[in-house]
Amino acid sequence: MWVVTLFFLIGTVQAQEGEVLPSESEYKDPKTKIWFNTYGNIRISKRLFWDAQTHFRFEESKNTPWIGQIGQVYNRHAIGYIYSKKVNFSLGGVLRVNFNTDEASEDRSVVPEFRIWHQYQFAMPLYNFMIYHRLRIEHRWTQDFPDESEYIFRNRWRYMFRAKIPLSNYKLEPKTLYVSPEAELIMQSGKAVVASPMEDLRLTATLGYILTPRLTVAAGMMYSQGQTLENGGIYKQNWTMRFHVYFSPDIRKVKNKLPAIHFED
Amino acid sequence: MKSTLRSWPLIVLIFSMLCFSPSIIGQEELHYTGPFQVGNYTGEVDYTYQITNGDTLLQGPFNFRRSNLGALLNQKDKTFSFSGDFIDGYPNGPWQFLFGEFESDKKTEVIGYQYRVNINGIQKEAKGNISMGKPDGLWTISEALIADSKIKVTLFRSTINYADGVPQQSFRIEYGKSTLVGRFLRNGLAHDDWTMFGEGSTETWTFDDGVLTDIELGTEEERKSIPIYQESFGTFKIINLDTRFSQLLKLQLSENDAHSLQEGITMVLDENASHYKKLDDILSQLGPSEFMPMFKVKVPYAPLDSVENKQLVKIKNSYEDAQRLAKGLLENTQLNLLKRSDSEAQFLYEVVQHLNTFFVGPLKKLASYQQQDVLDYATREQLMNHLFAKGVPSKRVSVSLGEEELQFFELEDSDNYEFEAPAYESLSQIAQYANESLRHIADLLYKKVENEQQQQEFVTLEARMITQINQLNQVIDSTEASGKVLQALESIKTQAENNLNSYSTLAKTEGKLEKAQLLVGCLNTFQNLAQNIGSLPQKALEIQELYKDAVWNPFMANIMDEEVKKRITSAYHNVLIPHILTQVNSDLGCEKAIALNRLLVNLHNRMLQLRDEDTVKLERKLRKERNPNTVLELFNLQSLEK
Repeated sequence: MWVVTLFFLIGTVQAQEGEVLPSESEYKDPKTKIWFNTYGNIRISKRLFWDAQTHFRFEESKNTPWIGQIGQVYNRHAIGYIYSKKVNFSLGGVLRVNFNTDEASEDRSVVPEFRIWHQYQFAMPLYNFMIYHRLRIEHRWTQDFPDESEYIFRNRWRYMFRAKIPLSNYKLEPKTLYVSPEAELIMQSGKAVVASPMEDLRLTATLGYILTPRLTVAAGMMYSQGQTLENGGIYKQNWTMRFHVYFSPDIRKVKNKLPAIHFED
Repeated sequence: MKSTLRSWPLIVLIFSMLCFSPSIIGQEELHYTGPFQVGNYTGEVDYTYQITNGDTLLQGPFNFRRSNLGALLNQKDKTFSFSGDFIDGYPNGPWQFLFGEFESDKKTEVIGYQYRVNINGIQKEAKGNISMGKPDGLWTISEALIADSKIKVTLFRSTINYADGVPQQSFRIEYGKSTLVGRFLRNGLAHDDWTMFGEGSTETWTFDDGVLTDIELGTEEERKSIPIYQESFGTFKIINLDTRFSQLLKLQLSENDAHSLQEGITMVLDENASHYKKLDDILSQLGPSEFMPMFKVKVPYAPLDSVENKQLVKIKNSYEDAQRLAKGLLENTQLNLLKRSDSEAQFLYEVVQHLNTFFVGPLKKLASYQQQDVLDYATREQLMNHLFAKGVPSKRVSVSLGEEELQFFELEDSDNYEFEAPAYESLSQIAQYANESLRHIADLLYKKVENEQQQQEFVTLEARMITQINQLNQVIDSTEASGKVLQALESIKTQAENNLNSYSTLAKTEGKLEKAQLLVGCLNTFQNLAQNIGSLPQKALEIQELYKDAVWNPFMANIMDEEVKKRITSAYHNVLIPHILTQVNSDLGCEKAIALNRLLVNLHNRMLQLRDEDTVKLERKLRKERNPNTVLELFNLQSLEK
């Protein structure tokens, strides 16, 4: 249902006020970036967990590709609800710190950004691998770097399809190398969005290794492109190296852990 | 109304006299009717008795019987009926005994107002008078075959007159087709001819004032006369004409003559005695009685003197020992096997048989005569002739084994034994000689058997060792283990083979059998150890599986197995098992192998336990601990050194 809605939003495309749509779409040169992401999934009760993510995102500078300067520091938190082994929901907030990466700019160098987000994740086993559907909706307040910038409000509509396919084992279990292709489409809406509803399309290939049931590491390369907010005819592009650490400690007392796997009891 | 009141005290007086008069007399006659048992007889009884000084004394009529119509119709009924009188506990007066064993043809008939059932079977009856427990007057005992409720054949019938328990005048006993007639003097001594008329033959015992002088027997055409006590004898004794007398006759007669007497008068008298015995058994259980008939005879009396009595005791002891030895040797299964392969054993075995037949056999007869108390009535010559019909045996026992020449056995000190001496002295020497000979042979034979047994034991144990080594090799050949486990298995095998080799170089000395037994035990331990070590990889897997928890991985959204208590499993895999394998590889002895087996079993069990126990503290202590003995201690297990 969400997916369908998302596609309707693509609708008619108009240029932002004051900007003229080019006769053909224009693609900016791709930027190179590197992200270090941590994902915490901290079990706090039988059905609740604390979703804690911290990302450090770097991007190229004039002289240094990939890791020339810090782009954003990103704190995403939520309380998650485990509906079943395959389905969970989260609701929480994001505080993102945006650094001014325009090296020529004389505006402020750092601005905060706030979001409220909720997410619906569905997993499906298929053959010996898993596929996942993730719907994430974000209500986002951003401001630009000039001193007098106003907060603008937008909604983001995100759908991600992902698979995790074990490479060195017959199933996803500890000591297993896996590959994870993923595709995410991020749409946006709001007063400020006139002609550029497709904010980002991300295509990623990740290689991961499950160290223990509670610790996994992964690294991948992502290509993304999307309409710039200023002009729907102009597309930005990125190549991003991503490094992930996934950890899921269980801070419950031992006696409350049992049985650890039965949610329906 | 007025007169009744006045007579009231008188009525009470009369009533109380009626009620209490017996207790005033004291000798109250009581009556009993109900179930009763005498010996094997159980039935309904009806008798009167008195209690005198706390004892029950039968007094007056006695009637005891049993019959069961149901049993009769169903299968078979054993019935009896005893009736008579008692005076002061003694049977006295006319008595009748009936015993029956009947079957019915199951046909009933109503005649008059009674059901009638025909019976078949045996009826025994005895009747006569008893005077204070002794037969008195004419006693008739009979046994008849009953068919269709009628006497068909009389099987036995004895009529004897008594005067106060002493048989008198003439008597008559019919038994089967024979009839014995004879007479007694007033004092119960047999007198004149006692003749048994049988089918075509007769047997006559001629008595003269109680002394049996002749026996004549046979058919009219072929008669045989056996003289018994022909010459008058000085000292005599009057004894009962019973089985003892028969034995006495047997002792003085040739075997042949004794045999021909077996089915004659002796048998009839025995049969008669058995009938009387049956009645005596019943009566003596009810009160004092002497119901057995006392047929009396005179016999010469030559009692053993004190020296002879002492010798007899010696003879008996020697005989009993000798008999036990002979029996033990002859019935020993191992000896029986051994004699097939060992000619010396066979020779000795034959000697034992000879001694048993010609020495122990006659002594056995002597012991039996002594038991029956007949030795005092036989002359020494009679006795020796009877015991050794072919003469006193030789000290030099000769045995022939198949076609070989005769072999001889004789005790080295045989000269010390004197067989040609007065009867009892001679018998005593014979008994001692037999005993000593058997003892000597037993020593030889049992030693042989023991050697043989030991040899067998060696064979069994050594075969066992070979099997054990083979099995051990099999375990090692078939193992899928590799690396250190395989190395340890090879080490066990080497050690086992070394032990076997060093055993095989041992000389057959006293301790070798013990060593063999120890080695079998030791190899068994090695086998167990090999099995325990061989199963380590599989045990490790088992533990690995056990120390896992299923955990939900939120990123994968699936269930994964998580290793738990890793410090414990790590101590197991990385400290203890390597330690054990090292121990197997260095100086493996039996004792150490036993300890290792115990440790392996205990360790595995402990690992199973620890999975469920709260081990937080233990895990903390195990951190960085690499000393196997400390780890064992932390695990609460005994280390190998202890």
